[in-house]
Amino acid sequence: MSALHTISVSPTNGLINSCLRLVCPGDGILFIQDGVYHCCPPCLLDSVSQDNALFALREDLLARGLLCKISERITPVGFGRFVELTIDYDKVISWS
Amino acid sequence: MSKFNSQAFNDSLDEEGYLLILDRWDESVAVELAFRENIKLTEAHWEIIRLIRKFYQRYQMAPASRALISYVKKELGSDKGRSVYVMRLFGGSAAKTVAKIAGLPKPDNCI
Amino acid sequence: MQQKSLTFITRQAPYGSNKAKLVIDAALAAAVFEQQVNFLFMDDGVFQLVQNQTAESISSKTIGRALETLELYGIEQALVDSVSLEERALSAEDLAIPVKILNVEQVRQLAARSDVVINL
Repeated sequence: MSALHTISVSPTNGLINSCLRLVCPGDGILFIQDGVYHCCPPCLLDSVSQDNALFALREDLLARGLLCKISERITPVGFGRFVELTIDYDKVISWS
Repeated sequence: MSKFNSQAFNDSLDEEGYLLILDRWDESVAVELAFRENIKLTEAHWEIIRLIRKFYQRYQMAPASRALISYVKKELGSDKGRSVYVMRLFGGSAAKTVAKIAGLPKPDNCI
Repeated sequence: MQQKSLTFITRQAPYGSNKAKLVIDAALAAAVFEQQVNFLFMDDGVFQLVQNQTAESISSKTIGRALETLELYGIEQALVDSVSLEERALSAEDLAIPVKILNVEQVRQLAARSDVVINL
């Protein structure tokens, strides 16, 4: 069963390491709220496998002035796509 | 019986009849609370009441039905550690009723 | 009722917030509804398992007492993430209740095969 992992706190928490231990091939990761700080350099996401899609909430990127700074691997998504993602994956695992 | 007719005693219970101040419990309080549930306490009842109080002392919470039955089974054996045994003594909502009579708070997580 | 497999991941230290107690209560509630419940300690959550806690000294309830009730609610085995233990220099002998220690691959499989993962 695939999972969408949502991360809502900044990289200072080190939560991404715990999250990545649970991530399986085919899982997606969506950054929201202060979690979007993961998406700009120094990028902590280089080690994430190409099997895992990476998303960030566009509104949260815009609010923090990060939309033009994010790594190419990240796909910005709006709220509508956020909702679709929660349906596309079998379950959501939230990291906060 | 008169002390249980007083306003002071009724004030010591919450709206569902659980003791608000757990230290006020003694055996005569248990008899009165059981009477209000239409239960006349026998030694079989007391055995369960003492056990649930021991549970509360140890785990610092009142057990829901599933945990109460497991604990009775662990402490008193599988003859008594069955829902039907405890429900025959205390009725359908046994875990809630025993907790009330034993002077404990209402169990969380009870269906 | 259809049975689902639920995995509760408890990731907070015991007394700094009420989250640790919250996860236990949620898991017990799920167990009461006869669901298949897994309980996994991860990150600072492993601090809940440290022996010789006496939270009365800070007017709290010792978390270990509540953890001991998991078994009475039919949650037979508490699970622990081995990496989280190592990061905090803890080992099986330091823990207050019997647990099964899972390696990285086992933790990943547990999350993958669960219908629902509650992560707090």
